[in-house]
This record gives sequence, C-alpha cells and structure tokens, in this order.
Amino acid sequence: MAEPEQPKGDPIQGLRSVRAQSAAKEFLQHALSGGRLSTALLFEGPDGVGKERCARALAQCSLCLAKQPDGDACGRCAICRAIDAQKYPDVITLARTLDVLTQQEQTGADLKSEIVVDKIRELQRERLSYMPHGAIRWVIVRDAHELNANASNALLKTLEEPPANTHFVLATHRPSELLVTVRSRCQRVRFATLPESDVIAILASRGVEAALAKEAAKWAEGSAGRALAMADPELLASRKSWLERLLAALRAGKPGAVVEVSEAFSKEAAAKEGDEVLVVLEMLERYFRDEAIAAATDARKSTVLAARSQLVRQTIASLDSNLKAQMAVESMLVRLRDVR
Amino acid sequence: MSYLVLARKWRPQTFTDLVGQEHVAQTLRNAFAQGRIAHAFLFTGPRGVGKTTIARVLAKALNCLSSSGPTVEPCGTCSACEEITRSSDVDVREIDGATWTKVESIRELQESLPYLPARDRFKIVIIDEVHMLSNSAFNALLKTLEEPPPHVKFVFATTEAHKVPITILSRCQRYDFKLLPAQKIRARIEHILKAEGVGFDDAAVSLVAREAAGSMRDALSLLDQVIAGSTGALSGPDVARLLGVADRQVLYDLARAVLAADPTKALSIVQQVTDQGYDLHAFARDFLSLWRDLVVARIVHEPGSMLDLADEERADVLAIAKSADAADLERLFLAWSRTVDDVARAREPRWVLEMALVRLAHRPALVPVDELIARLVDLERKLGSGSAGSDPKAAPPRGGFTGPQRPGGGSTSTSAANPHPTAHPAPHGAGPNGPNVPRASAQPTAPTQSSAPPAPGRFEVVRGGVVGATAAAMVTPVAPVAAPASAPPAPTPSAPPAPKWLENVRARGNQPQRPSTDESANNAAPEPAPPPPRVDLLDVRPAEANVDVWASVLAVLEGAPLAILEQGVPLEVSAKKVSLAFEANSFYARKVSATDVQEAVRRAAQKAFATDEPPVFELVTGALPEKVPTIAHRKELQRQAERAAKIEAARTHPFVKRFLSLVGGDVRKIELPGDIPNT
Repeated sequence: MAEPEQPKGDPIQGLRSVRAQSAAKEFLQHALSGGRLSTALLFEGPDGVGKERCARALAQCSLCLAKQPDGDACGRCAICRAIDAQKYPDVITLARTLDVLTQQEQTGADLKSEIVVDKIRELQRERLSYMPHGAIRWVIVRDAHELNANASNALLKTLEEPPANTHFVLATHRPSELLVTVRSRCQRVRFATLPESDVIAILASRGVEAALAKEAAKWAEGSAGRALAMADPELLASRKSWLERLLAALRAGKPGAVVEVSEAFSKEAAAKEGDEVLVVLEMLERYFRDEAIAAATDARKSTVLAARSQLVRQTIASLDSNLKAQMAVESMLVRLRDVR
Repeated sequence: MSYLVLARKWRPQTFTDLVGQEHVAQTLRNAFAQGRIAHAFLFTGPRGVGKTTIARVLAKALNCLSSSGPTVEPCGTCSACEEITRSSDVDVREIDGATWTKVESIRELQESLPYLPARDRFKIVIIDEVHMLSNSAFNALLKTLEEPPPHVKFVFATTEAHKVPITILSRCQRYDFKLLPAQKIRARIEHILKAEGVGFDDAAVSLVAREAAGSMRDALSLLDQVIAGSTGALSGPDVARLLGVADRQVLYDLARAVLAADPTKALSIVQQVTDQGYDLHAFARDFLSLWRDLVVARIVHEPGSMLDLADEERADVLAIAKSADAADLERLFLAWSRTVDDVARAREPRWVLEMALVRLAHRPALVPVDELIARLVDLERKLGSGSAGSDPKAAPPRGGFTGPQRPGGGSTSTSAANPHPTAHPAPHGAGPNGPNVPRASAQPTAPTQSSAPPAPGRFEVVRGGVVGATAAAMVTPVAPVAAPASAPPAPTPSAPPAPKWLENVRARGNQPQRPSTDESANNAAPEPAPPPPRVDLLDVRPAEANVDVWASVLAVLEGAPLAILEQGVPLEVSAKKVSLAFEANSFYARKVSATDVQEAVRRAAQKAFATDEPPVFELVTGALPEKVPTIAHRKELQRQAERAAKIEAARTHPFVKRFLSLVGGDVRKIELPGDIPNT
C-alpha cells in the first residue's frame, strides 16, 4: 500500500473514535445491538465529517473479536486493526479511485470520472460471489453519487437482496444525485456538520499547526475534509487574496477590471489541482452571506447582500454544468455590480 | 444470519396479500379465469410499488403445483411455490437486467428456452430493470418475444418504460403501476407493526406514511429505520427526530417570523434547525407545503379535507393564515418553491435557506394595481385642472393603502430575475374608486396652463420581480423625453481652465479611477492592489493645449473619417507640424497610418493655418494613459454632463415629486431616451 501523503490522524477504534455525530452513532449502535441493522445504509451529510470513518467503525463493531460491554469495538484486536489499516478482506471499499480487487489507488487510464458499471460487475463477480471469511462482509461505497446511471442500476438488485451476510454502506454528500430507486432501497443515516472545536482537533491530530488549523476551520463549514484541504498556508493565503481581488474588481466597477481579474483568476485556477474556482466562489458566497446576516435588520442592505449571495450560488451551479470558468466569473461580477 | 429488512420479510406472496394495484391484480385474475394468459408482461411504475413482487406472485400463479393449471390463488406450500419464494426454482429465472445488459447474456438465455421446463408448467423469465438492456440485447429478444415456445413466459419490470424500445413494448401486455395512497400504506404499516410486536401511536404511523410519498418500499425502509433507532413503542416526536423531520411548531414559528418581517428570528430558527441536524432539504419542502396550506386556509372558507392536518395543527394554520394577506401568501409560496430546488442542489443548503429568508422577510409591501391606477387617474385630473403641486392634501391616499413602501422594497427586483415590465395600466380601465373617468391612461396629458412645467415623460408600472408577486407594483418613473435644460455649447476656442482629467492622468496608477458606488463592497473590501506601472507611457500633457486648435483643423477636414481622428492625442498642431499620438497597434493607429488619411489631415491643416506648404504629419504610437486629452474624450465628458443635468431635471421635476408623494415610492432608476436597457 502506498504511503499516505499526510499523517493519517487518529486510528479508528470503534464508534467512540468518531467525533461528534452522536445521533448517527446512537442510531447505529442501537440498531446493531437490536439486530435490526439494515443491509443497505445510506450515510448522507456534508463531505469530510466522518461518514466513511463511521462506516469502518461500524464494521469493526460487527466483527470485533473482543467487543466491549456497550457493543462498541475494542479497537485493538487483530481484526479492528486490520479494518483500520484497510487491509481486512471482508471490508471492501468501492470508490472511483480504488481498484475493486487490489483496493489500491488507480492512476492513468484506469481512473474514470465516475464509478462505472464494470466496477460493479467486478465487485459482484470477484468479491461477492464467495462466502465471506467472517460473520459479516461490508461494502463501503465512497462518494456514492459518483455511481453513473448504469452502475447504479446494476447495483439495484444487489442492494435490495444482497448475498448472505453482506452489508452495504453508501456514503455521499450529494444524496439528491442518487437514483430514487437506489435511495428507496436504503436506510438513511444523517450526518451533521462538525463543531469547529472538533474540526480543529482533527487537524491537530494530523499534525496541522494550531493557528493554521483555527484559520482553516473557520472557512471549512464544519467539514474536517475541507479544513484539511484548506490547511496549507500558501493555498489559504492565495485563496484569500483572490477573494479580495474579486471584491476589489467589483468595487472598482469597471468592465476592464472585471475582465482582467476574471481572466487572471481562471488562468491561475486552471493551473492548480482541484476546483479552485469553486472554492473561492464559495468563500465569496459565504462572505456576502455573513455580511447579509450581520445586516439582517437593515432591510435594504441585507436584501442586496442576500441577492448577491444567491447570485454567486447560481454561478457555482452553472460551473457544475461545465460553463467556462472565466465567462462564468466575468458575468457574475458584472451582475453583482448591478445588484443594488 | 443478518437482519432481513421489513421490505423483504413482508413482501406479499399472494394476490390477496397485495396492497394497492387492484387494477393490475384484477386484470390478471380475469385473464387467468378466462384462460387468456399473455406470454409477455411488462410491469412499469414508480419505485417500490410492487412490480417485482407481482412478477414473482405471477410466476407462482402460473406454476403452482397444487392445481391442475394456472391459478390465481397459488398455494404457497407446494415445492414450486416454495422454491420461487426462495428464488431457487430452476425453471423461474430472475435476471438483473442492469447487470446482464449485453446481447451475449440474451443469446445464452435463448439457447436454454427451447427445452421443456424441468418440473414446472412454464419456464418463466423475469427480467428486472429491463430498461438497462443494450439495444442489441433488446433486438435479439424481439423474435423470441413475439413467438416464444408455448412453455415460456416473459415478465419484464422497470421504473423507466420510456427507455424500452417500442418494438418491445408492442409485443408485451403492459401494466402501469401507481403510487399508493397514504391510507393504504398506513394500514399496511399498522398491520406489520402489530405482527412484529412493536407498539406505536397514530402520529408515528402517519408520519412514516407521509414521508414514504406513495412507495411501499420507502415506507418499510423508513419503518426499519425508526424501529431500529427507538426503544420501545414508536411515538410521533421520536419518529420525527429519527427521520429528521422538523416539528410542525418550528415551521409555524418560521412562517410567523417571515410574515412579521423579522429576519433575525427567522435566521435563529434556521440555526436551531441546523444544530439539531435536520435534513434541510426536507425542511425546505415541508415549509413549502406549509405555505400551500396557508394559502388554502386563507382563501377557502371551509378547507375540510383539503388540509391534511391534526386538529391543533389546523388551528395554528388557520390563525396564521387569518393574519396574512392572500396575495402575499401566494407570493411567498411561489418564491419558496424556487428556493426548494436551490436547496436540493447547493453544497451549503443552509446559506441558501438563510438568504432566501432574509429576502422574503424584507419583501416589499403589496400595493394593488387597481388602487395605483385610481390614484394616477386622480393625479391626472388634478394636474389637468391646473392644481398641480399646489396642494399635496388634495389627493389623500385612498383606503387600503397602508403607508409608504418599505425602504428595501424595490431592491428585490434587482436579482437575476429583473423586473418584468407589465402592460401599461390603461387596459385595466379606471379602478373601482374612479368611476366615470374617461380612460385611465399611462400618458399624462400635457398641462394646459403655461406656467406648468412640460410633461416629464411616461411612467411604467413594473412588478416586483424576484418574489413573483401577482399584484405587487412598483413605480419607475422614466425620464423626460426632452431635456429641459438646453445643451451646453460646443467647446469654445478660448483656453479652457485646468481640466480635471489632467490630474487623473498624472495620478494614474495610484488611486482608483472612480469612487465606488457600492457601499457593501466598500465596507469590507480591501483597497484594490495598484495596477503594475506601464512601460513607455507617452507623456500627453503638452497635448492639452492643442485640443482646441486640433478641433479647428478637423472642422475643415475633408476626405478622412472624422471619428477616427478625434481619437488622436494632438501632441503638436502648428503650421509646421501635426503630431498625433495613438495607442500602439490599435484600430485607430492602423487607420491613421494610411497615407490618404495623413494627406487629408495635412490639407486640412494647411487650410486652417492658411499657409503655403502643408505641415509635416507625424504619427506617434505607444501606450496611452487612461484619460487622454482628445476631442473624443472631451465630447464624452460633455455628454455625461448633459446626461447628469437631464437626470437631475427629471428627478426634481414637480410632476415626479408630486407623483411620489402620492404613491409613496422612491425613484430607483431614470432612463433617458436612447439608453441601453440594463439586462
């Protein structure tokens, strides 16, 4: 297995090692001890709040060799450790970036933009057609909204009537993008955003320096995943400076400034990995939203600011539909200027 | 053995067990009774309403060994029935159409079809999710499907019949399944809960039935969830918490806050809902259904069964509805219906909720269009009789109009959905309060008295855009067609005073060019970074004194485009030399580099200075500062000044002032004739 790029954080040791999410944990523990845990679970909630971690902890609970009195996993037995290390054969992760058989990260031509039907077929043929080694087998689908239409359909029958002793956990932060036929077969477990203190603690466990962790957590909306992505001093500074430059262009109100900043912004964003435009626009949306809330009692000001926040939201939505980033940002700035 | 979910455990095994879909069951029963059993069935309908279940029951009905032929009442105990229930009957093949999509799978299947069934009456092929088969797989089926061996029956099930080719559809008997009514789901849930020995109350069952939205499998999945998550009997509040459905009372509080224009309260409710981890999309949807209930409660005298609410909830809804205006409620419903879509898609649904609530809480007050028209007519009559502006009390506000519009009112129209100009109010005729007025016209007649100022122009009634009001009206006065002030004269030949733009040219690069009109961005935005200094910036200061001379040269120009030369910076204009500067590589520079243009300039200069020899022409190119001393620039400044004067004249026009004092709005925008409309 490839070395992870960043320190791995605290090990998964049963449900108690999952931060916050008391409602979800309570429900799962209850269902598990009552023998009523559905074979198809849908974990939905913001990204980076511990859905997959919780799924692994749940797997530990069902397979642990030395369960604690309250039904939680011990976290120290061989199986618990193997599940934490993602090396236990009966806990299968299905993800866009992972090979079904080897569970290794895929690269190059093997890496697709969605979870394709071949992966589901491979899962059914190579992993689910044999009896599990232990009592229960788990299939954890990471970012289940990345299942494409064919893959989702191919999963339907298996989800409804899975092979013996097989449980599915579909984790997603975009539940509305799943087929209704998939959702209808699953029991939904909701995950909430994390309190800021928990986000900071998670960053600390991954070796992020305290001040930076605090700053990153501020922008992360209760998502440890997003906070981790933010916790790079250079990146954070560059994002904040782009936010400021966009606001400055808006303030200057000149077509020239708008075009200039949109072009520079989209060029630099394109050169970087990930979705820089999206992240910065979300910061902009949040900026207007915060301002609007601060001015909530001032009818005129808060209405204008709320309208601006909504406009940025629409732009983000149009980015999803493949509109060119530069054009989207340009037209957004021009329209933002007209909102008053 | 892992837990068998309720939806599987309680899958009906006979036609009599079935809930809903009576039309399907009845048709099948009749077909069996008459011995007219088709060889291919297609079951289609929404998720979780019984397609696969009926397919399996049908297989039993066809193959049950306890009777001598197909029967509508399979015994459920013979080996065929039992094996079909366990999915292990060799003659009944249930195929996952979404996994085995390829034509090879179909060919393999077809190879086995000619052989007689091993034990059962029929070989039955059930293809679930049949819409996922590939095109060639479908085509490979066609012949078999039309004329299968007598011992073969096909049953297809799908949620998406429109993806099945018509050639397949036309070879099957098609059964459309419907969503189940909530009462039937409720009854089934109660039956199952009793059999499972789980206690429950009415509210709990109603809630699950409502959330299932017509699908039995959804209902049973939810039921699994609430049983697994609760200790002992199911109660309404427990179920609501487990399903993440907000308490109705929270929704009522939110509606009250919006209606009372209290954004702070509304935001604190969102905070509360988020902290409790509710599903915000479901919350937004429930809030929408509350607006619907409120509209119904407001406009229907005896709502009766139109409101599906418990008694105390009904009292709350009626009380809120009573305190609100029907048109306002309709508007809120419409606005919220858009928000629900946005919430479903957004990564931060909370922000979307908050921003929508802020805007709705600050929505502009409604003024009936009729009333506005009546007042306009009134105003027109007063002006016509010469009392314009003399007595503001002459036209007191009419009944129904409750004070001036809220200050933030109009700004809702500035979102992406811009105000839609509506028809001029003329066709509506006089309002109820203005009988016997000849015809309400949007075009005020010209005042008869000479002392009265000229008519300022036309008025447009526009709708408040974003909230989609049905009767919300805003009044946007449109600027006068003719400028009251006469246009300033053309630049005079005398030396102008030190112009403003010169300072700008000198200070360029160090300060923002124009003071921002954008207060909100101003408040928090940092100073913009200074643009990088340009290299080889031309020094255009000497040109300032030459602009007027250059204008007099251009006055006698012939045979060259004036508009292009007006863009040139006259670095030097004398009897000896004409030196013009242009931005390097610009369109203008290229045009002026043509010799015939330069010749024309030299001839004009010779004429203007009355010399014997035409002067030398020099074309200078380089980077120009933003504000340059050119004729074009001077004309632009002049145009702006004229425009400002016209706008000011319109704003302070007595007619406009009087109008505003009558209808209680403020002037948001003034458009001059020839303005490009803002989109």
